[in-house]
Parts: sequence; structure tokens; C-alpha cells
Amino acid sequence: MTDSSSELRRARRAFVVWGIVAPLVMTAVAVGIQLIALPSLPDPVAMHWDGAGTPDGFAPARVVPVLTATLGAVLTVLLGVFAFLGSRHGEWGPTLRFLGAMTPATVGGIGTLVTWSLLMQRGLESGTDAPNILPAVLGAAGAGLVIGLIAWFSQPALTVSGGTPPRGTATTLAPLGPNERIMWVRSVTMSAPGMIVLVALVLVLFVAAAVGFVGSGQVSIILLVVGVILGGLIAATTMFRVRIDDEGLRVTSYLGIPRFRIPLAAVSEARAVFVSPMADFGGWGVRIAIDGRRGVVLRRGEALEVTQHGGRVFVVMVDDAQTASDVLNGLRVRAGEVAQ
Amino acid sequence: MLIRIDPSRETPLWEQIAASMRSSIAAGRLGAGDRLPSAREVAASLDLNLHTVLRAYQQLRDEGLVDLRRGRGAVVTDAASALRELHDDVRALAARARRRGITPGALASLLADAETHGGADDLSDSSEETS
Repeated sequence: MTDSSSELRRARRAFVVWGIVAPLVMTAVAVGIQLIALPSLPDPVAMHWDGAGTPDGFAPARVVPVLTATLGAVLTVLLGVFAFLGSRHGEWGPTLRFLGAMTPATVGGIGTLVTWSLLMQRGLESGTDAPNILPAVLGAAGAGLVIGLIAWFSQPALTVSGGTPPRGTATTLAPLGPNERIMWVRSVTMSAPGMIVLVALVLVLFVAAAVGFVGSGQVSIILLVVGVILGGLIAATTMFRVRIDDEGLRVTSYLGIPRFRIPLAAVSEARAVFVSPMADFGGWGVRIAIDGRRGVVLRRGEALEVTQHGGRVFVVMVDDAQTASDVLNGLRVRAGEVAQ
Repeated sequence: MLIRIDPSRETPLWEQIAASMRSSIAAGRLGAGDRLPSAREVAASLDLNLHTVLRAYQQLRDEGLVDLRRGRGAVVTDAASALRELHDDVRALAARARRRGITPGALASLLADAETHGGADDLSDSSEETS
């Protein structure tokens, strides 16, 4: 126990170093270099290049360090800080390790690209003379990749949670009789705060679309289409029914799609686990985790985890998961006895 | 919600379904406002006649545990919390009866008897004490 908790401390420390401190430091370094280079730059500088690599967008040189600092800080908060706060209950997983590598890679890559694009314009008369951006893009991508790999391998491969049952409750389900028929059903919906955020997002899109109609029709149509698609996706992926009977497990969206079905014969093992959406799946919704587990992840808490023959794992967040796994295991054992 | 039925038992299937749902409510698996699965879904899943399931739902409605509404299906009523409160008492009583060798049938008829005559017995007991 002390062993795993010290491991967890190590993983969390590594995440803070690579996922939060490193991106901020790299942003600071990039901004510092840009400020030093400022006097020798043309004004305005080239900020954007077209597909052929010729500059086609320009901005005052002063804007670039401000932009770099803002982008670095916002990305660090969105990717690193939020992920870290989402998993403060002592769980850890490969998704967090990935975010701990992706955050410095993204921030470092962007910082390299912007700084490189400035440095190559030193001493030029005008930003329109700026050379091709391609070497900078390749260099930045390479830098990002290297930073990401270093950050990934500097963090321990640790998975906490997943294997922890929600409670110490032993099986209370009486063994199934040979003629007995059994059915377990339960609905799951996304947690209330999550729903509020999603619905608010769709409303904002619709309001933006309505406001946009006054100005430009094209933008508002795009917003409207995005809003409708998003609304549909939310309706399809935030409310599910979970059903277990002698045919196996069925998880169906209230809209009917998506649906997941695991026939009883394909079930190798079922158990109740505790799942933290951020640490285990990197977020909410219908997900595939980095460790290959598929899941319907609507909130943190109890979940039914079903391992299929061949090792595929399916997870669905649902209350009373202990009973669900007992029922599925009971049915599986009985079917096995009949088959023998 | 958990439904277990055994066609080889003497109890009618609709009663077994109703009993399962009652237990689910008492155990807190179903709470006030929760919707029961459609009778059609239950019938298909348990390989039963639709009318058997509907009979169980009607029984629960007669007991005031669910509301049956056209288009909305069967919804658990506020009476669920009352059943929930009794859950631990019922389990304890059942366990004591089992330890003393009282069959579930006998216990059930004792309870039914207490329900119909219990009030009158209490009254006569107390009047004897006071007189």
C-alpha cells in the first residue's frame, strides 16, 4: 500500500514537472528570446504563410511575444492543469501520462515554431522578405516529438484504480437455479454538471448563430449546423440503458444509436470497478482508452467492466455495478455448466 | 432493477415479477421517479407473455407503487421511500423467522393477519391492562 502510494506521488510529481512546469518554462524561454530579438526585427513581421511557404499575413512584432505567452498559458491550463485537477482522488492511468507528455510537446512545438519564424526574419527590411516557413515547421514538429518522448518516458507507467472494487460488498446474489430467468436493467445519464456544461455549449452556439444572422449569414449557418450536430451527439451519448439477461450485456443509447452488445458466450469475466473518467479514459462520452478499454463514460464512480474472450475490455459507468457483475457472472457460470 | 423468476416455482409468474420489482424498490435499486423498463422489453428479455408482465405492473399500480401513464410507461411513485424505510426491518424479520424455522409462507400469513386483526388485538390488550 505504501509502495503504490509512493509510486502515485512519483507519478503526480512527474506530471506536474512535465505537464505543467515544463510548458510554462518553455513558454517563458520562447518569450524571452523573442523579446531579445525584437529590436532587430522588421515591423510588421510575417505571421502567416500560405501553402507554398510565402508569407501572406503580417502583424506588429510586439504582438508575437504576447501571443506566445497567452497560447502557452492557455494550452497548459486546458491540457495539463485540468487533467491534473480531474484526478485528485488518487487514481492514475496511461491517459494522464499521455497528457503529461502531450502538453509540453504541443506547447514546446508551438513555441519553437513561432520563435523560429521570428528569428529567421532578423535583419530583414520587411516581413514580406521572410523566407520559406517549411524548415521551421519541420524543426518545430521534430522538437515537439522529442520533448513528448522525453516527457512520456520520464513519467512512470502506473495505473491506479480500474482494479479497485467500489465497495467491499461481497456477492449477495443467490446462485441461479437451472430454470430461473433473470434480468437486470438500469439507466445511466451523464452527471448533472456535465449535462449543464454541454447544454450551455449548444445554447451558446445557437445564440451565436442567431446573433450572426444580423451580421453575416454564412457564419451563422455554420454555427447552426455545428450546434445541431453537437446537440444530436449529446442526445445520443449522454443517456444509456444497460440491460443484462441470458443473451448477455446490452448498452443502448436512448436514441437507439450507438449501441453495444456483448453476447453471454463472449463474456470471459465481469466485475465492478471504480472509474475516474479523466484518469482512465481522458474524458467523458463514448471512449477508447489508451490501454485499449472501450467505454461508455458518463461520470466518475462505479462501473461494470466486462472482459471478453480474447482480451477486449468494455466498461460502462453504472450504479449498482456489483449486482450487474454478479448477474452476468452467474449467467455465464450457468451457461458454462450447461455446455459441459 | 433486478427481476428473477423461476417458472418451476408454484407462485404465479406475474407475482414473481411484481415481487422482484417490489424488492428492487425496497432495496433502493429503483427510487421515486424512476421509470420501469417497458413491459414489452421485460417480456422479450425474460421470454414471457406480454400480458404476464402487464399483470405484474397493474398489481404494482394497485399497491400504489407505480403510476401507469399512457406514453410515459410505468413510473415509480413517492410510496417507494416508505417501502425503502421498511427494507432493513423486513430483512431482519425474515432472517429471524428463518433461524426459528418459520417458513416464508407462514411468516407472510402472520403479517397479513397482523395487518387485518393487529389493530383490534392491540386495542383489547391495552383495555385489559387499564381495567
